Amino acid sequence: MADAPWAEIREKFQTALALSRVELHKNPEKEPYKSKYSARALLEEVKALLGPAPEDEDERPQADDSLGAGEHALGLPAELVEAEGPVAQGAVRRAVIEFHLGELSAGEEHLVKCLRLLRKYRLSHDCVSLYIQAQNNLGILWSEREEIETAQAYLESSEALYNQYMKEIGSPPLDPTEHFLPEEEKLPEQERSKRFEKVYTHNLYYLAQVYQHMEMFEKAAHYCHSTLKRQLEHNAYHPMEWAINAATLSQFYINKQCFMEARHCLSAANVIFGQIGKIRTTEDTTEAEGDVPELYHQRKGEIARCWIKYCLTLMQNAQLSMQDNIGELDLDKQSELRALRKKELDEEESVRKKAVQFGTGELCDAISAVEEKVSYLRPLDFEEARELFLTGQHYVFEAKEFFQIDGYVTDHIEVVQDHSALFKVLAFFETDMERRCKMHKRRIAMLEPLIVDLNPQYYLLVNRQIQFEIAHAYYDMMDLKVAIADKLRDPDSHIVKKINNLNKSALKYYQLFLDSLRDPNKVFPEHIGEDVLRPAMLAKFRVARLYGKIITADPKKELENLATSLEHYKFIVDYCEKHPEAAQEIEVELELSKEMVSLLPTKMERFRTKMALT
Amino acid sequence: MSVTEEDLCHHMKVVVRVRPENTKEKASGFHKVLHVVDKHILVFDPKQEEISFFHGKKTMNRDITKRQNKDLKFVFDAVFDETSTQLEVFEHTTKPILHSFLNGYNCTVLAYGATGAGKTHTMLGSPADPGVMYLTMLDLYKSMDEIKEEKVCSTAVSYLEVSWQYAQKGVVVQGLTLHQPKSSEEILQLLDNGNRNRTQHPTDTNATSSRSHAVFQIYLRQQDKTASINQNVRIAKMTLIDLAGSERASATSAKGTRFIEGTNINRSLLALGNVINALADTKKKNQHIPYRNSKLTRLLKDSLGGNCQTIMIAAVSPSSVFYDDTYNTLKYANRLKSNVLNLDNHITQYVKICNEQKKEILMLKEKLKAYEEQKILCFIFVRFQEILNCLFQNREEIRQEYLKLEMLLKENELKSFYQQQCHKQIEMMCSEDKVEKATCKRDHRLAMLKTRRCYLEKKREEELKQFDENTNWLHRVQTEMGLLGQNGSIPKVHTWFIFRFIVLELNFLNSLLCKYLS
Repeated sequence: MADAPWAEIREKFQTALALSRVELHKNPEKEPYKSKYSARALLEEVKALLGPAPEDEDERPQADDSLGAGEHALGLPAELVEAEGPVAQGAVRRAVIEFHLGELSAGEEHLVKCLRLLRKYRLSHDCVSLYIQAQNNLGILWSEREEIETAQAYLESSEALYNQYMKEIGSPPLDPTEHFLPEEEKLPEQERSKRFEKVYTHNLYYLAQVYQHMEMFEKAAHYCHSTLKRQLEHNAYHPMEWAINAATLSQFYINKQCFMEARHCLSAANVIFGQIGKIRTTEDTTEAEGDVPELYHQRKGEIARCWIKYCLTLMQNAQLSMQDNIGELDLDKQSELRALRKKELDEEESVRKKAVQFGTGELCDAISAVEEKVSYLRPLDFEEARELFLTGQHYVFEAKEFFQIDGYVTDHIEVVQDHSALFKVLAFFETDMERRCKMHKRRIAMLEPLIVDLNPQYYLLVNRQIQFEIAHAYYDMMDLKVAIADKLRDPDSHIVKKINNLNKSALKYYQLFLDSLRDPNKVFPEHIGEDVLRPAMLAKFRVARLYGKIITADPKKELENLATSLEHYKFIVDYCEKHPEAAQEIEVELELSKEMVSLLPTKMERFRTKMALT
Repeated sequence: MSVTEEDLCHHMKVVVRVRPENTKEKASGFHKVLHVVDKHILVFDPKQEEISFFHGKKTMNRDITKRQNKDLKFVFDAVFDETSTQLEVFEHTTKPILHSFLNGYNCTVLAYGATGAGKTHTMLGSPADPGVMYLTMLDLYKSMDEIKEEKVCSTAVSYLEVSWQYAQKGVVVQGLTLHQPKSSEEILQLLDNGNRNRTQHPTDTNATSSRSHAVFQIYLRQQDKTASINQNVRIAKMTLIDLAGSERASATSAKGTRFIEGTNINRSLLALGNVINALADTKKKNQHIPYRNSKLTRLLKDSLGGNCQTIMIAAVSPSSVFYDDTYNTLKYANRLKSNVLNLDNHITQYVKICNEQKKEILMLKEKLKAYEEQKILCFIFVRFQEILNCLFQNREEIRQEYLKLEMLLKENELKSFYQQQCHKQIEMMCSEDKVEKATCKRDHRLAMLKTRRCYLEKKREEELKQFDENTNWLHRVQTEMGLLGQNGSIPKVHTWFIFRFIVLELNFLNSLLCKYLS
């Protein structure tokens, strides 16, 4: 090959490459793709300079199915590929050009041509990277055409090729751009390896997206996980970005009840987040986000919130597996789970751990150190639950540091609600009723002030949620006090008064919720909106019950309470009669309300006769 | 994948408007990919019913003929087909929420869709065919006019452009102006200005226009005209947004492509977070998804929560040219439907309360049953009392009768005795024949007395029998009551019975005694 055109080719190629990388917004406003077009023109010129493809004639037999043909090409012995390598130099260069052309105009033809030119040498260290990239681009191209299966096939083929290459050859392959570099500028091994690994990381990342779109979520998560892992391995990450991603991935694992994996992600997120400001990575850091202190604190808060969810879900999960049909601790189930756990511990742990482990050496140790402080096993007794609770609470405080009520209202409230939920689930594990009561009291103490501060109109939904939760907490406390009173030989007036006060408070908050449904003219709506129908009916039902539970020695008052209770039950029954679609929302409650409506009048009648007699 | 009706929600309405095909689309032989079924349902990429005679020779996009028809059914709060007018859209979108707006609720109307799908036409319209913003203002002024007797209303409007380019540093607002128009004419003038400003931007794939949103906000302040110290002031905000085109930005620009909704693969690892985010199921409550810069969400934050009424108008084109954009818009709109806070997070504990209630009802029922039983017992008690009363009365009557008979017998005895005595006297004092006559007479009398006595004695016998029968009855009742008494509720009746019995017997003895004494 003559020197002059080669130099020209090289130069044109480099210019084209540079042009294709110009960011869009740097183009003139009316021609956003100007740089791309110029790049394309240059590449076409280079292609012309390279001359016609020599092996055009043997394209025919394999032309229609690039993928299928590729399959058996993979089986080529390595020596054969090596032998043909140098011969194909021109073809490879042509392929590189085709590749870039394909990338620019989303031209399937160019990319397929590129694959066709390279098929024989796909396992050679000259071509493997290019081949994988071309396949990846075809994957992207097909995904844009919403032909996700075709995209998947290309990408999976890339993945397989990488694995085969690494297994059989393993030496860092050439980067496609090198084919247009003079010998002395060729990249060092280390850089080659880095670029090749990056190509593969992208490959995994694309696969993650493909699986995501195909709704194979577990597979998608696995590939996201691998991507994160590779980012760490090749030091190609931005700590804040990485930490947030890992923390978010933990939320997926939580939903799948893979708590060990979730814990690993969160611990790694903590460790990597700790690197911010200490380690500078070059890769993908277009903007130094870490320099913005507000963002730093916000991200820290976000990770803390992911931790809260971890602790909370783990505890709630344990509660679900140990409660009987009315939500109390079932001792049989508890001991059953204890026996099971011993097995669990030995078998799975090490295998599963290895599968997801992030980082090596020091980093790995640092992550383990964080992990060791928190269990990933469902807590089976109060002590274990308490450990998790305390961790959760620690992160609640951390999250609250950033998400303050002033400025982050909804976030702050969500954190407080989680805090309350932590107390609630801890109460499940507590056997002492007085202490349980105190936990609910804590919940109320943190929720009540929120209501005072919130604009009832702007934060209507949040307000309602809190009202409901406070009402429930009071209700639970009342139940507990009743249970305590039942155990006493002769409950004194003090405890009766307490029970009634709790009853009243619960009533108050249910009423507040129900009042929030009224229109601006304070009229209760004829038709309750679908989204609040069930909560509204539940509130009515509870109010009815609460009125029936007020303890009083005054028969007149008792009769009054019964009448009010009846009124609320009647409301439910009447409403469902008028709006039959509501009935299916509250089947059980409606059934019970109907029974109460039929029973209460007799009860009241009897009460009246008794009153008349005395 | 078909979408069901289940999560249509109250706070957010999602409507779809399909624009008519333009002449270019009609002419170049693209087919329609949308079929409006009715006012709520539309089918995307419906199955072709007629089979093309020229297999594959039709002048269609290659990849469209290649892939199978998706035939997806979408359900929305309202679907407007190609023939719908601006007024119809207004009637079904902004008009219903104007009432809420006047009541002090914040309201938001958004138009979303690809460039060229008809967003701007829907929101702004043309002078000849004004859009939702214009019609809304017209109606608002009309409503304000109606209530001007009771309330002092004032409005302020702003028309702003929100740029996305610097989303990292917050929402940048370009050219914000706040006006306080006095009349509807003035506001319309303003809108017209904005309208013209917007239309100056070329709307084909121009970079700036697809990265900014036009936001029109109306503030409404109402004050009661009453002269009380507590002046009620009601302030509400209505936001009408003509969103930037939703079509994807070029694949190579790393930033600003996070809004991709299609199945397209994102190349930048920076967007890995999006993939991970999407993995987490937004419907599940128990997870925290770190807040990403979903700019739309940030802008709409206080519009999507709370008691705000939000209406989203998704504008789509029916032509196959916009196949992907239309699909993405519909998917996004459909997802929005379910993206609302909900209250039902207290379900687990609920079982407990229902169970308790069931228990209570059972208890009540039992109580009632016991009550009913008691009622029956009472009834039995009364019945027994009646029977006993009857028996006792009967017994007393028998006894009275017996006593009477006894008395009569006594009398009879006395009478015969007297006859004998009398006869003896006659025997001693009178002549034979007289005696004979008297004897005859006496015998006759005695015979009479004897028959009478026989009769009385027989009667007494009968009474005694009856008495025995009565006693038997009493014993039977007593045992029956004893049987009932085993479950504890009879003792009272029993004592009463014995008491009654004793009293009766005593009475009897008493009267007997009296009789004998007399």
